[in-house]
Amino acid sequence: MRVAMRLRGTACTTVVVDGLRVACRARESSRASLRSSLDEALERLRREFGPAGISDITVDVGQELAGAKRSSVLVVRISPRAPVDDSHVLRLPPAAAPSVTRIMYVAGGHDMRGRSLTSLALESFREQLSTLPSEDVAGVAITSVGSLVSPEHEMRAADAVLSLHGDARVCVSSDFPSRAFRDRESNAIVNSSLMRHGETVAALLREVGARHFPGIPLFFAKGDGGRESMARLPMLPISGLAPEPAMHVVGGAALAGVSDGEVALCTDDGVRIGRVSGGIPVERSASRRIDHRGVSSDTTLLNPLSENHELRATVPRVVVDLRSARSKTLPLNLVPTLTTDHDTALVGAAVAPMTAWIDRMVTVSGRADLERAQRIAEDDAESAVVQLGASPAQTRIVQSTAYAMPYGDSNIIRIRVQAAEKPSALDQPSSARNSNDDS
Amino acid sequence: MTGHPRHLDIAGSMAHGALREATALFLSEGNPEISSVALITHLDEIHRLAPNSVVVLSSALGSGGWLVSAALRRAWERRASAVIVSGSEYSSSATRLADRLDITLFAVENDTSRIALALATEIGANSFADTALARLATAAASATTLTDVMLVVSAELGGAEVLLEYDGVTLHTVGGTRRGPTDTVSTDVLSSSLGTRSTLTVKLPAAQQTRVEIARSLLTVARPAIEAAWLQGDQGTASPAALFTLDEALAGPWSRFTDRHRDVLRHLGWRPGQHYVAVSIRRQSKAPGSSHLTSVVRLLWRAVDPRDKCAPVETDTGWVALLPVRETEDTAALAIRIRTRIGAALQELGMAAGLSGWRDDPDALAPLIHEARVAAAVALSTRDRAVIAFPELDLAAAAELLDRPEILLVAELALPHLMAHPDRDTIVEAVKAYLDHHGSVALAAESLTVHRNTLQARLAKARAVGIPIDDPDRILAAHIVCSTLHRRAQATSENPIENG
Amino acid sequence: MITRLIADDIRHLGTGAHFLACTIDPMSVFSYADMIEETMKERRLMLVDAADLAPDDLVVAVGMVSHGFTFADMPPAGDEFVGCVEAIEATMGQQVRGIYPLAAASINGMVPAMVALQMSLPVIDADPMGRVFPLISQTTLNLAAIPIGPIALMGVAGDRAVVEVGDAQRAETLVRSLVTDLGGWAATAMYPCAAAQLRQHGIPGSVSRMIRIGEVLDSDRPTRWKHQHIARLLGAKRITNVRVVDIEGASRPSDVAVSALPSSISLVDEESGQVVRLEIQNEIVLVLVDGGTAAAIPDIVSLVNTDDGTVVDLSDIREGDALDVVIFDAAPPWYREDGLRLAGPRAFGIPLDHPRQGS
Repeated sequence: MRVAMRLRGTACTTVVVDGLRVACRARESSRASLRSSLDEALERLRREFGPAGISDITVDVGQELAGAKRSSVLVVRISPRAPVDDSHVLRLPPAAAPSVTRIMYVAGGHDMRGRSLTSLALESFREQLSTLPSEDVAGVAITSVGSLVSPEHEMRAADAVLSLHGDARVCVSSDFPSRAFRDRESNAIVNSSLMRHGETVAALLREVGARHFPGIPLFFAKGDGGRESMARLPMLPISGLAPEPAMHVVGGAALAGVSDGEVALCTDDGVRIGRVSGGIPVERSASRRIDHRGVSSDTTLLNPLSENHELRATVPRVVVDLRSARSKTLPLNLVPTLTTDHDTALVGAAVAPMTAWIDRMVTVSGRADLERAQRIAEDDAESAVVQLGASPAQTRIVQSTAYAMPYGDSNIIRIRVQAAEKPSALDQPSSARNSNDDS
Repeated sequence: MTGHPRHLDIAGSMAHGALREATALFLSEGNPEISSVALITHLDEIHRLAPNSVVVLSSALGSGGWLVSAALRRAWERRASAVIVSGSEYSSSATRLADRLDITLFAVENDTSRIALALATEIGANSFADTALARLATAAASATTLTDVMLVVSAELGGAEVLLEYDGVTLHTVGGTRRGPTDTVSTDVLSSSLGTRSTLTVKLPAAQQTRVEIARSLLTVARPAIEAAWLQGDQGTASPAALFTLDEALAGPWSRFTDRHRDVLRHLGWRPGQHYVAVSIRRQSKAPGSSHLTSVVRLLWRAVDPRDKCAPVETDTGWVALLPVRETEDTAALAIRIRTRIGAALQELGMAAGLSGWRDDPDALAPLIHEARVAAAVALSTRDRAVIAFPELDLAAAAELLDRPEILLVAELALPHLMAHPDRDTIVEAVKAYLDHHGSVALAAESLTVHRNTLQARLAKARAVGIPIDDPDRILAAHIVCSTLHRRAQATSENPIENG
Repeated sequence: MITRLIADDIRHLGTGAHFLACTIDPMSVFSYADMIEETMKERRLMLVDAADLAPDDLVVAVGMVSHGFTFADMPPAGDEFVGCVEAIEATMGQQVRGIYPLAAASINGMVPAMVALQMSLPVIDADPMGRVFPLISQTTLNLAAIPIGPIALMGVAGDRAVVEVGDAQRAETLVRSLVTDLGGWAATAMYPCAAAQLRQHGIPGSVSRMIRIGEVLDSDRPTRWKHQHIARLLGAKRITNVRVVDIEGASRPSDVAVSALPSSISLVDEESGQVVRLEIQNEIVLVLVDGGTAAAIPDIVSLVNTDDGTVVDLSDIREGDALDVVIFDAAPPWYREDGLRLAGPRAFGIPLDHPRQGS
């Protein structure tokens, strides 16, 4: 049996699934504090299923993180020269701006070949840092030009910060692969602002989890429709910030028994549509418009259903009706295929597979080289999923793409691979799985 | 060859003829007749074909799925009976287009000129009889050594340079090196289950398109002869019956070494009274398929020692060879010579070589082999030079050859709190990463995929249990101890029974 | 005609610039548009025709030349283009009176607006490409033997160079290698000429065209209206509602002269069964429908999402996506024999004649 929990304020909601079947519907525990709510919920589960009856717990911490007080963040921009006037200062996207206390410019950066554009002005940076009080350096987001190719300057700047402010939560933009400086920076800022809270939440969950279900692995739900070990939440809280859209898709597809096709989510705000492959949402990268910044580039975003969308008969489709009032017909004459009172997002978190991403720039000299680099990336992605705890025979590649860059160096391409646990690993009800484990 | 062209159709050729070798990607309705075959080097040529031609796309046409699409279209317009492409060039979209246009599409694994030739023979058209191919086949069959076969290929191409490469490393070359721009044509040989490529490559003067096409065909025909000669030449140098285990061999009394291992020494070309330098070649890891690597190493070794029947002998850790030297030979100069000839190749293959020093007593082979082993171990560990002679070693080599049990003893004595700590392995791993990355917390944390703050906390613990990571005088010792402890922890987790 | 541009025009300019160069990530376009709108708060931006200037007024093209990086990867400090224009003025001993885009598409369609604001100069509604081409020699000015040089370059680190070169092809080689060493992109100013020469040999109306395209695509009108209106505005033909079935990288051997890793996209019209294939090398260079040539460079090809009429982001394209392929003519000079020689399929390593070759 797998458990999913959602934290909201001081309340937590849990659901238990057995294979793809909901064994225990969503129940809320709402006490004076989150800790007591968690205690109550887990205590109840332990009574009902026994300490050995639960195999793992996945927590949707999205709302908890979204509602958290964010640390203030010092933004460090490493580039050959600072902007010469205000118009050329890169605007902070709305999601990241509120956390930022100050922007510092440091000379440095690398070109596409990994050669430094200018020496890193580390000394003057250290001097400036040493004048700042520690409360202004609670969170630091460091972004350097060309850090996708060489993160060296970001690392050295991070070391400088840590040597002077050991408690700072430092985030470097090369942790968030994206070509655009602003995308990477925005992710680093949001991530950095959430790190302290992520640590607190992770520590609380691990402590409470260990008390009621010692040894049971803990995960958090991610924005790409997968789950990740709770140990990583303090480092990458941004990936747990907005899991709900993806989890609705995963849950809706699982409840309807559709692993490949389209999922339409009908809510009171309208209909949004996404695709699944092997039960996982096919990722749509964050919109290019400024407003949708603030989510990691691996996050699933669902597009609003347009009147031109073709509903192909050959594509399996799940239409999940989550509206409060269901008497009105749906647009495009969509017919709900799953009208459920289940908390689809929470069910999704319970069945979400482990996923991992590899996103790297490689130098290739032709097609054979490209295919080889792509195979290596796919192997690395699958290894990453195995390291998360999946069995080596139970991993698969969800998507694997190589991007040529127009007007770029002809030999440098970007490879982006997502690997995940195979759906079959999760489909089996607990009795079937136990017998497999014994053999 | 004249005569009545045979009536031939697609089904017939698929059943009994050249198209048996081809993979049908799409078969159209009906069974079109084949009246001619054309090897196409320009798309426009298709416009001039008669109906019921088989259109074979030459590799000279270029590569690209769009070419197949464009060729399919033109072939369809000319009512061709089929289109044949090289297996590496088609994509699912080509098959889809063939289906849509209802035109038969085949793929072949090898160069398409072979099937064009075969089809032409079937049809009775003589235009593809390639005398150059016939000459090569005859000559290659009578050549006995690898060099001879490669020379035959080179001669057919006007003395062009022909190379045999393994994983991009040149093992053997014949023919003149050309200045100026060249075109290269390659074919794979001896495909290995490891996925490492051995290739036979020809370098031709640039912009001679017809030569390139002929070269492609020649290499395809020569390939089996190359493979046979390579393997044959290798087997001519037979190996000793059992794998030579150096540890065991050197464990016995050195004075009896020569007597006890005469068989191996004979394979190494040893003669009593002659002075030698021993060479040990070691590889990074024990990879499967090492018998193939032995062929590679032996071929490489010919650049150093062309004597017949004196190839390196495989051991449990790599290979060992003997090089005869005159009394006044300088082993460092010998190391330079070997480094120049095969150093780069060894490095690319993840190997390193060590040479022994010079000894007065010509029978003192055991110490020579021992020295060579040590030098090879250091070369492999340091990785900045592929070939090292034992007399060149200095103190730094000691760090590479540390005696593990003794270091552990020192650690027990000097760092009791660390050794007793429940998180010892984590602390050691953290310190090792920190020192490996020259004191960068950020890089060390990344290498361990932990939070930077977590690493800092672990370093704080390290300081608390007495590891002197901030003391420049003792940092080297700390690094050595932590590296040793880390290696032991890893070995214990990999082989719990062996290491207790 | 002299027009004052407002903030909305810049937004539309960005959309139109993206539409005309859909293979290029539009991040640079959008963030640069923000910067331009910010600058416009204090200053006026004027769009003029070449005829509005005196015939011998000096005008110069500005554009970013990239070899690896764009503004999105490495934001400009802000003085690079001004530095280039000033270097041209110093070299030629004459003041520049108007700025025009090196290419009226993608980020280079936006750059003149910023430079014009910074230098209080007008933007000229004309350009020498009428679309994006990968080489700086692929211009109608070069076809008319208007010299490309002197060329001024400035990198983001502040390094500046002036290159005096006669041959445009040679200039391409020199500039490209300088750009690599300047960090990956460089601001440039080139093709300094008299306003009369631009009027005679440039492509008029190309800047305002981008704005008009953007007005259509940014509007609140239904998607169907947008599709139809764009087609009418550009005289375009559309291959509608084709579904992506395959995406290939490195599917052709690349030509050293034109740098990029070629790729291909295969699509199917599920209704008619037509098989469509796009070949991409920096730009979309070839469109095959059932193996026959439906479009070949210099024809302009753009991709829009069938669902909502937004321009397709090629880095975001997936199997199963539904697109419309929009094809329309480039400016007339490109279909002459010398134009096709400079910018036809063979110049891009595609061994095919353009369908209009010889006509």
